[in-house]
Formats: sequence, structure tokens, C-alpha cells
Amino acid sequence: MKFVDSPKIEYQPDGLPRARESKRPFYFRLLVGIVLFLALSLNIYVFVQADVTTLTLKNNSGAEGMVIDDDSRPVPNVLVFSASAPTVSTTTDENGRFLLQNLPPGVNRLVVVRNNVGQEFYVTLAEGKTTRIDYLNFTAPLEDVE
Amino acid sequence: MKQFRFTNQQGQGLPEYALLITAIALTVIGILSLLGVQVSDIFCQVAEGVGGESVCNSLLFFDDFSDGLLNWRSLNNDNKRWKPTNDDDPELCYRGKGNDQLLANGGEGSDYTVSVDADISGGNGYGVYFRASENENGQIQGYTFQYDPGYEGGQFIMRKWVNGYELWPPFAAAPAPEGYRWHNVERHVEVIADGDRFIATVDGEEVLIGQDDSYAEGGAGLRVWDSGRACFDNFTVESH
Repeated sequence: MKFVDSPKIEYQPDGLPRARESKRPFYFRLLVGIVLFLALSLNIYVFVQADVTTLTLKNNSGAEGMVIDDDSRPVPNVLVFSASAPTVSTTTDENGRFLLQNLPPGVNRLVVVRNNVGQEFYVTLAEGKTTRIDYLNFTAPLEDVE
Repeated sequence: MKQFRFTNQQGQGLPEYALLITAIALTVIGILSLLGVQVSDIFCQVAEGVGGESVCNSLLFFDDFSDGLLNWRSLNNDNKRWKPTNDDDPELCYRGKGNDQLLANGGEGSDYTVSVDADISGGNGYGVYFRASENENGQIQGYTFQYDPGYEGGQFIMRKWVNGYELWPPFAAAPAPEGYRWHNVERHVEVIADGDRFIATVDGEEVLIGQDDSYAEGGAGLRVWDSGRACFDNFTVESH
């Protein structure tokens, strides 16, 4: 490159460099901004609507165990369900045993109900398999006391 | 000498700054919403920090029962046991056998105070629902504070409800003072739900504190059981 073709600084009368002129017109920049804004809004909307908390928790866990009373006797024919997946429920068999499947992994609130009175047990279920719970000691009275 | 000039400056234009700030604000609001934080709550906290308490308290629900049961629904689909009185100062009274539960149509929220004037003339007590809702099968979930002369010689208790079943034992219970007069006295009952902590007062006196994190929001209501006879007035839900 010849010296005469090299970039030069052109000084203005006020001593400041010449103001740069935007190559993009204002309306173009506004349009880009609106498109970005709409894209962001759409992302937020879809993220909220998707309810990612339920998407990330697959109901692929289970719980099995036995309900016993204060005298360690099995309690048959009582309702057992998880408050975390209340549509999944079962009834204990004659040996007080129960099996619940399709529960979310992690901490579940298992509820045992007899005569409309429930008792709650916090259990932690492993992901992707049925967790064996030793005993749920059901101590609620036969009739509710209020 | 170098001059500072504020005209013809280049860079981001005002609309671009405005769009950028709007996008950032919306993103923050979206994230806070996902985390379960109400932007209005944050505003209120800041406002209360600057200007004192109760800046953002708002009335979520009020009923003096002058319109009967217009603002309520029975979970047993049987309103016949609940009868508004027809005098100058109407009340809602429960007269009948068995149990029933009413939920207010409105007043849903998270941190609020439920208050009611109540008088029990018979039976084993009444309950005030808070953070209560119906599941998809119409079964109630939430909490009750119970004015409960029938529980172990008379106690104030808090219960949790799951799928229409009340859980045993109560997650909070406290006996009343010796010689406490349970019946035929109008009491002003308040239940304050604040995060996972609940405070119950009767006639301005703190009687019970409970703690549970199962339900973060819901509405308010009333229950009476065991053929109780109770009247209620000025049922209010106020957020804080």
C-alpha cells in the first residue's frame, strides 16, 4: 500500500474527529429490537407454560412397605396414597402390605387413612425403582377425636 | 483545550436503551415468577421498609353475611345446615347434624390474615380454613385452626388436610387456660399465615403457633362438626 492510500485522520475545524454516521437506519434497529423482545417474551411464556418442575420429575418411582399399629400388628384394608401424586392410591392387604407405583422420586408425603383420619409419613424414594419402606407406624385413633 | 459536547454522540439510541431495559425487566419478572416470588411483594417489602408497616395490606375478602351464602360454597354440596340470620346484624349460623365445610369464593392468597367473629353454643368446636383449596376431585386441602373444646379436654389446634382427609395428630396444639369459657361467648379469632409459620389469636391473645410448608397458598373457609351449633360474622381475609 502506498502511503497516500493509507488511512488518514481527518481533522475538523473544532478539532474533533468527524462524527460517525450510523450505517443502519433507526427503523431497522427498532425492528431488530422488537424482534428480540418478542423472541424473549415468547421464550419466557413457553418456559412458564411448560411447567418445567413437572417435566423434570418423572413419576418412575415406587414405594412398598407395611402399615403396622402401636402393637406392631399389621393394619389391613387402609387407604395409602402419596400427597405428591394423589391420583395414585392403594389399600393395604390382609398383611398390612402396600405397593404404590408411578410416584415422583425424592421426598414424598405418604398418607395412610382409616375412617377418614389420615396420618402422614415423609419418605424418600429413589429414582427409577421401587423403594422398600420397612414400616409405617400408624397410630391414628380408630375414630377421630376433635 | 478539549471540549465536552453532549450533542451528536453516537452509540446506543434511546429506543434501544428502552428496549434493553424492558427486556431485562421482563426477564427478571419472569424469573421471579418462576421462583414463586410476587414482584408486588418485593415492592411492598421495600415500601414498608421505607414508609412503615401495613403499606400494602389489602382486603382480599369480606363477608358480613348480609347476602347469605352468596359468596360461599359448601364442599358437601349441602347449604341447608348453614342459615344466615335475618336481623339487623346478620350472622351465618350452623344448625344441623354431622359435619360441613364452607369455602369462600375469593380471598385466595399466600400470606394473609383470616379473621372472624364466632360464637359456639353447642358441639365440639369449629374450624377456620386457611390456605385451603379443592383438588380436582373437589376434596379439600389446606389447614384449619380449630377452636376445639372437644379435643382432649379443650384445646386450640391446627390440622392439615390432604385430599379431604384431616391428618392426625394436629401439627400444633395448646390447651386453653384453666376454666376457659368455650361456649356462648363471641370470640374474635385471627389466623395469620406468614410463610410456613402460622399464628392464631383469640380476642387478641396469641393462643397457638404452628409451622408447616405443605401448602403455600389457598383460600379461607369454615367448618363445623359433630352437630355443633355456631354462628359467624365479619369474615375477613386481608393480605399482608
